[in-house]
Amino acid sequence: MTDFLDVEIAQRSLGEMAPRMKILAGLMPDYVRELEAWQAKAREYGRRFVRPQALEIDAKCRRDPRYFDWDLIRRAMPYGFLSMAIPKSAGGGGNLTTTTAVVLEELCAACSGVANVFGAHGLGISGILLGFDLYHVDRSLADVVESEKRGEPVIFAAAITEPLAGSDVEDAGYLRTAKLMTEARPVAGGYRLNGRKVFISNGSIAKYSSVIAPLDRTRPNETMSAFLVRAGDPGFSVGRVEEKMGMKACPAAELIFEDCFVPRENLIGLEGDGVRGVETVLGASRGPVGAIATGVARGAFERLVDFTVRKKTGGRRLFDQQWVQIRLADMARRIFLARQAYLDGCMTFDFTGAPKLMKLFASRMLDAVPSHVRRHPLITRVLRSATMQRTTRRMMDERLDENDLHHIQQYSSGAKITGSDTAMSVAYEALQIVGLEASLHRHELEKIFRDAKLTQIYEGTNQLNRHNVFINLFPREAGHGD
Amino acid sequence: MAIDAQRLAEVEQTATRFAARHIEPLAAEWDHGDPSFPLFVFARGREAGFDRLMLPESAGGYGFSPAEVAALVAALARTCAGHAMVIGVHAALVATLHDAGAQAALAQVLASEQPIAVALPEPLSAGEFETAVSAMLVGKDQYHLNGPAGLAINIAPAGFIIAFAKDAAGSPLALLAQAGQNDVAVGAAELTLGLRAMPLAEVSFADHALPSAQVIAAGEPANAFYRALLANLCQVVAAAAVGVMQAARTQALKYMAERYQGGKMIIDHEHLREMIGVMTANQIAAEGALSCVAERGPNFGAALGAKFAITEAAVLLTTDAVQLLGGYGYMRDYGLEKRMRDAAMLALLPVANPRAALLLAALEKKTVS
Repeated sequence: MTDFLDVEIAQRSLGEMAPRMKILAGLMPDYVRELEAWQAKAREYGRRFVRPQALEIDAKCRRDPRYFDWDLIRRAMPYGFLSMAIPKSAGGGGNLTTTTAVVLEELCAACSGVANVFGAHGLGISGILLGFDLYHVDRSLADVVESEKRGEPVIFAAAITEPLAGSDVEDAGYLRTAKLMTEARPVAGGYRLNGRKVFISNGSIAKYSSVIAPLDRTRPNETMSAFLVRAGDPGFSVGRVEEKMGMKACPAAELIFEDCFVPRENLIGLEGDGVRGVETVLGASRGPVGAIATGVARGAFERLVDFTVRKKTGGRRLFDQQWVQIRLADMARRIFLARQAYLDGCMTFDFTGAPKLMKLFASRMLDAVPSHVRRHPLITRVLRSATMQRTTRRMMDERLDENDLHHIQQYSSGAKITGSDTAMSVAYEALQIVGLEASLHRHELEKIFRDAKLTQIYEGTNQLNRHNVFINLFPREAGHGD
Repeated sequence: MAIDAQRLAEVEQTATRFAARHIEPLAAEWDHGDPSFPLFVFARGREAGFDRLMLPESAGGYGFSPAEVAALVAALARTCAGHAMVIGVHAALVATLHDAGAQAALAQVLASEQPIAVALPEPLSAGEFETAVSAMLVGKDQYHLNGPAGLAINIAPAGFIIAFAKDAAGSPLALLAQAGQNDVAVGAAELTLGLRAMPLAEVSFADHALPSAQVIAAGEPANAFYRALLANLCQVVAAAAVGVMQAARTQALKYMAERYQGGKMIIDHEHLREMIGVMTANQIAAEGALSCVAERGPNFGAALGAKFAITEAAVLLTTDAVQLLGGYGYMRDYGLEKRMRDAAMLALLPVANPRAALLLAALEKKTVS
């Protein structure tokens, strides 16, 4: 009976899943072909390697939250998921958020815990990418690419959340009054990082962590900055690895900084550009999080369909019972809408946000210069100069339309909320339709229900994201209310 | 059925003390460890007389009213819903056996000190069930059972199992078997979403010889027994769900009053305050529904409806409670994620809520046709 599942539901083409892709295939055939190719790769990796191991990994992590399945991630190296968003000039795939999102939906339909390793890695590298920081593109991101070619994963993490400040760090309005613990005090040649970050996805297994911290905790909005910290750096350690309800395959860890020296060259972008950086990164990443959640919902739906085809009550397959049919139809409708929401969020970002600067002549020229040439000390000095970075920033200010930026925030937060609420409702409804059997670990649905809840919490709670929709929908009038 | 408020308060206090002493120290680890039956807590519960709560005094019990049983189970569930279910399910099954007049089976259970599990078949309509277990009468006083009985809840290594079968003529039977016998196959306790202190395992019979005396009810009385059992279990489930709601809301409220965000306490954010208000409203409604169904006395439809509404509210409330704690809510240390899992699991017992709705509709249809 799994033939039904494989053929009818889980093997639909991108065009069948999202009608806009069928339309775009006529207008932008290369664009759609590339998306389809990445979807096929993700589908294959998910089917061949991820899904068969998902339950076992979940059970192992339940016993030991520090367990991480490196072998499974190594199997992903030929597919290029870790480097897919890295510029082609640095050897990566040069893909934007829409491609990442399509890949994440496929992986999440197999196991969102494993998929989250790639999602959190994408978040970790996005500060460098969206800050157009070629210095780090040519070093740490090139390391990702080169290691991937050797079959050895190099993983990034993004360290934003603090013990007393979750949503506060992700919202400029709240940041002013946030109770921050982390600070990067400027010292000769760099910074001294002190404090703690919590719930950091990939935190315990990442080689590189992009850490957000202010230079002065009393002026977080003005001094927030981003830093690259390497595993093993003196003063940097991994604290507790959390015992999470779900998405266990991707560890969430506490990162501890005790007088951790960060050399000046490991500043990402400009000093004080952290708030803007976080906002840009979240605008880029919340669409793909919507895709993660859509994949979670789809995973539940596909398993449910399979069950309803096999299970009979009163002599009839559940699949043939009207109450089940109507529920399946409504679940499919919600998943479809969640997919449209994340495609809107991602495509708006890709076509009207920071990535459009990549089409500028200057950007193309820089991108055309091979990475090893850009690493020349003289060129490095130019690229790292404050003048160059200010020019990049001015270019972004001039070329990015304010309304477009508001739309990006609305659509990306909207996608995140829509996807995650859909993931929860579909996962819960699947449990209910199957009944008590669904509560068994071996049937996968209970895992998906546990996984789904995280999508409503991370990348800004859904409450924070709703507020983000509001303040970008009414940018002139909106404050933070009461 | 009048409710004695003072007695209710005493029951609640007793249960709270019991939970603090015997359940609290074990609850988190039991949730985290490999699934197994909590024999220690069950034994302490028996010593406290929890297994006979619902039996009348004339039958050696305490004659607790449904409201008192609900108060006890809810109080235990505030500490751990799984352990509360172990005690509540056993007490409900004992009471159902008594009410069905299955004196021999009841005496056997009470004398053995073993818990009772139940392998509940799927309900077909308001009065029937579907089972794959066949019962062949061999001679005058023995049945041979064959086939899978399905998932049994509250299963223990040597415990009793209430199961359901159909005889050669398709007539229903309710019966009492015992685990640990060669021809009664009990699978390994399963890792489940929640209520992990109350193990689930597959039960099947392979030519199991069952004395006729072990048949609890046959024919229409077996259907009646099935309905009574569902009704009693629904009340236990509903009570456990109320306990989970009370504990989760209290915990979320405490966090909101301590945690600072956006320059003020979380509880001072209007939107989040609205969420806690909705949680409070749902909890009040759930408590009301539980009291209402307890006051009504035995009523299949009322019990089913209350369990539906209360467990749906519990899932909503616990999910929101986790949300209010954000990342902390998702982590094991804070215990709220366990409450969310337990609530979702309660919504599947003794029948999942969509099926409960279909059963209710079938009952309603009878009233209009």
